[in-house]
Amino acid sequence: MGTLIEAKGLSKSYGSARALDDISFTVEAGRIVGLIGPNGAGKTTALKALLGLTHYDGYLRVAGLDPYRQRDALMQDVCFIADVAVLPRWIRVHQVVAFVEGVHPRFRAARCREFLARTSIPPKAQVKTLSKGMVTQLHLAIAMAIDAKLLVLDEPTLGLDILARKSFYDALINDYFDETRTLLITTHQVEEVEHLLTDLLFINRGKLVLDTPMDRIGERFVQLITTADQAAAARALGPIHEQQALGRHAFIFDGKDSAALAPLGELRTPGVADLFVATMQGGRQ
Amino acid sequence: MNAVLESGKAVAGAVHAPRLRVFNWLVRRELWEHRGIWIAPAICAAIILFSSAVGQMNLGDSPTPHGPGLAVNAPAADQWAGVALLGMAVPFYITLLFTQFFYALNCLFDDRKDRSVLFWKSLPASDLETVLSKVFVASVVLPLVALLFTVATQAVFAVLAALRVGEIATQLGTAFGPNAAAAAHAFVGALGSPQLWLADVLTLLWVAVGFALWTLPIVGYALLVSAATARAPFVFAALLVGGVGLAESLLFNSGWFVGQLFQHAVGAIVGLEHATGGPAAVNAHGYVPSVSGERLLAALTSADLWVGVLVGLLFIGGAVWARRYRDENT
Repeated sequence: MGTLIEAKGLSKSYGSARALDDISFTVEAGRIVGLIGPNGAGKTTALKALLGLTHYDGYLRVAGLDPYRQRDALMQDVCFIADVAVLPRWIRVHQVVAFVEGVHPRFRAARCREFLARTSIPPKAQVKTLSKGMVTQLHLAIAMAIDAKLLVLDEPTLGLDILARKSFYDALINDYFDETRTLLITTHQVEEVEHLLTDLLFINRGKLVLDTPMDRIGERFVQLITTADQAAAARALGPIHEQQALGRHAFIFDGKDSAALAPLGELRTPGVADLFVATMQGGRQ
Repeated sequence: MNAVLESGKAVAGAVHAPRLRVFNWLVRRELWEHRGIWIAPAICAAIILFSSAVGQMNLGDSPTPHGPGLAVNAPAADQWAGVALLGMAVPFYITLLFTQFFYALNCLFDDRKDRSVLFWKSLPASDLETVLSKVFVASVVLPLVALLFTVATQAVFAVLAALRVGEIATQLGTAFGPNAAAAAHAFVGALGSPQLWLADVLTLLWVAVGFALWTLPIVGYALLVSAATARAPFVFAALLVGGVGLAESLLFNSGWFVGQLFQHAVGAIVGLEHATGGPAAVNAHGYVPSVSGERLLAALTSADLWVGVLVGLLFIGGAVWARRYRDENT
């Protein structure tokens, strides 16, 4: 399968603001990667670079292609959902399906109609008459019927209620993802993608602050839950983050030996949300 | 095409849709989105037919008593019929000037405004193909639609005239004398001539070609503004044109730019006159033989026309570039 995305020293400036600052990472085929960061961290800029929608400095290959110069070829292999609201409002459901079938050689219309049949979207309806959740379902049904090497989702559930968000990710995992697909998802809502990712990329102020497979988080990071009287001892061991709640102290350590921490309290693998807060706030303390 | 599709499914590697098929769908998309393509000429046709029907009814109420009488011979009736038909085309092409300009001005802007450009750009149709599909609609589809509506309106007019010729001739006869009644019959008789209709359709086809070529720089300019402006394409387009015109008149005290603009806009409609050779040709030779290869060739060798086409192509190239490389900061 090999490497699908390769970025080396990827940078992008808007005036004096560094939207991407010397970012390097690779994404292997068959992974589900979460590109996670607070608003304005550079997530969308990174995606635009990957999709050939913006100029950048540095080295970047997606599916073996230079996204900026070989954009037309790239769109044969890569599909993206920019965000929930970008389907044209005037188009009808059956028209957009027919159109994508006409222009996309990897689109399987029968599969798309099958997905749509499971929803309550009327085939003759105009997009502007559909609810936000339905528009997202429609867009996802189209994207899932495309045999793309890479599917990029940029804040795909923004503005959706919790039921719509859940059914979105359920459909994605149950009906679309298999070992031949690669998914790149950006979001700032960490909790809802935590359980489906295989890899994490944390980005903050244009810099990559964490790049790890999910199953390696436990090897590197540990969360210590302890009481106030042990807090000073824990602090002396150099946690990257500390949090207090209801009389308990929670510390997150990066690359510390569990044996040294175990006597101080209860150890566990931090959740992605805790890790997110730790890595994003860590530098400020 | 089927063979290509089948092999495309079998081979998972480099798969490409046939480019002609993609282009066909891009054009179809434009027709879905822009309903005004049909609505504007339909309104135009309705107004022409309604006013001509009302006009026919009011003939009898004319207060003029017995006039001098009209001497009508067969060639004159042919001329009148031809001119009447062609005259009906003028409102369609004036309407076309507006629908074409506003179509081109908005077609690359609207999808950027509502961000659906990000959906179109997620599909394997290149920006070159997208822009060319819009040029095709503006400069080929729209003039042909105008042609179709013109001919349909002419035909309905002719049928209405034939159905009511007796009544109208009687009214005219009462008002202006027997010659006028004969003229009405001669006029309607001329409208039934296949030769007249052949010449009419050929003329209109020529007008459509001339229209597309004369207005290409205007279409290209509108597309470029549409693809490049951050907001308000009309305001931007108008200010730029007004600014250039004003600057020229202030700096050089000349009106070349505005003159060119007028020539290309109105030249499109004046193509009608180019094709028919103008009133002089009608008077001298009658209407039917007026669409001569010689005259068409003369109109096609105008340097202004081809310089305009070249400028239009440069603008279109600029629009493709802007569509491809403009960084949408959304």
